[in-house]
Amino acid sequence: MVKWIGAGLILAASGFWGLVKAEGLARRRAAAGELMYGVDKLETEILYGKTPLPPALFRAGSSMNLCRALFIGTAEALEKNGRDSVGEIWKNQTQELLMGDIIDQEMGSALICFGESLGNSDCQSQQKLFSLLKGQLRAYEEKTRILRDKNEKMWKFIGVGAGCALILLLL
Amino acid sequence: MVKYRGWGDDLQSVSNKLWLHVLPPRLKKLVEETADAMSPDLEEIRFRIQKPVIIKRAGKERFLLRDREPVCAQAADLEAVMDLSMRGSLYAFEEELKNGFVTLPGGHRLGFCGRAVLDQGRLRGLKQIRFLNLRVAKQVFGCGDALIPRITANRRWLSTLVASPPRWGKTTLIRELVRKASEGDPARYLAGADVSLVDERSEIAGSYLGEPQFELGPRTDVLDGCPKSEGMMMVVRSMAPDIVAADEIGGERDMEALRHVLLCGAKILTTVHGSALEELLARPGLGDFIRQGAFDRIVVLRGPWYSGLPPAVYQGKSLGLAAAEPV
Repeated sequence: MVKWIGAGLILAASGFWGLVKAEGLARRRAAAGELMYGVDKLETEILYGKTPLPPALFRAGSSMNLCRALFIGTAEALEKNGRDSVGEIWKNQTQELLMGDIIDQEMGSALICFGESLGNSDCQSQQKLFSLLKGQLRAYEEKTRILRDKNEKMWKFIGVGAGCALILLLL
Repeated sequence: MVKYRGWGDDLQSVSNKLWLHVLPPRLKKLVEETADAMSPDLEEIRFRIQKPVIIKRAGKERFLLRDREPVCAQAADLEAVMDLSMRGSLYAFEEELKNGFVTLPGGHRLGFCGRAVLDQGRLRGLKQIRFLNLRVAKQVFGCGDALIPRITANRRWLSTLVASPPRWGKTTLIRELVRKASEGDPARYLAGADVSLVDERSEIAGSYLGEPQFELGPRTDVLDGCPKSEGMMMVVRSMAPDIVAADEIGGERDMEALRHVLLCGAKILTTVHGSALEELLARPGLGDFIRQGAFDRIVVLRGPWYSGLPPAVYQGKSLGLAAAEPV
């Protein structure tokens, strides 16, 4: 009886682990979509509305979920903090996303690079900056989609499969 | 709030401290500890590279001190002030950079000088900014009270031109006149008028993100950041104002727009740089416009707002016929 309970627990734990890994892939895909939307909105605010950065970031991040901290957090820090530059604040917020495994290292580097020049040049230069990031985001979106499609089911299967294998070994 | 005798008795000057946010921590701390800088009648703080920071208040100036030694502005201080005033949004201040100033939250103004950036001979902006002038905006409630009986007639406001050299308070005066015109004055049987304020450089309303930072009365519409000539034509068509107010007119296009406003039956409330009526009449464009009787009243300030000297008021309609006639 104890063996069967143990086996059940192993299966549940490994299944859950598989689900978490699969969920991570789906979350990165959703975050990539959100980032694309937020950057698009921020671009509109900056290039066409000429809205100063803090309110532009607030508006771009208002309907976000996973990447909300990047936009709203930067805007709040800009409003409160009189010392750090936009680049530094943006970098700190990007690192939060990296630590939360919401984006990968490659995207994190692209975002940090974008933040260093965000707001500190004229509209023409800002437009180039946005074009560059949007190109990278499109590629990242595609990459996360492929990874999710390819690996989501695999991780779920691996979770359950690994659990079964372990049970067989132990029994 | 500070009370003083100026163009009237017991005036109340109100200023906010939002300008403090553009100072880097090092300077902010020192300024906060300086009583003159924290006074409600502070006029400006000047920063010049490697030179002492100067605080101007009611016509007098003092150095910003630390341990009794003048504090000099460093390049890093000036860059930090610029960064903080634009809040990482240089793109939003492209036009202001061309004009040499930025309007800050609270209606204050940061003027700057440095190296000009030219593009095919045309000014694109400034870089290496090394000289800053932080002009603190204030609202002086009641500063127009003594003037109102002289620029109104038959319970109506008259088209008025206010002239003075820079920093004597003509913008403060016109701001107050706009507020009074908009609120109305029951004691003088003046009903509130619909005022359209064309605030090309965000000086009168001190708008920040479109929202006026000064009290301008319940019937004032503000067109912010729009060139005066186009803005005056626009508000006449769109807002049907009783009075159109604008600051610092000058060019031929401004005169054309003022003519259009008058033809539409609205009154004008505006300012111009100048220290004497003769000087205004000698100006091409403006002189002819005054002689044609465009303004009912011409107000020439005879001293800064704190001098207590009452302004000279002339009857504009008579200028084309005879010598200036004081009202």
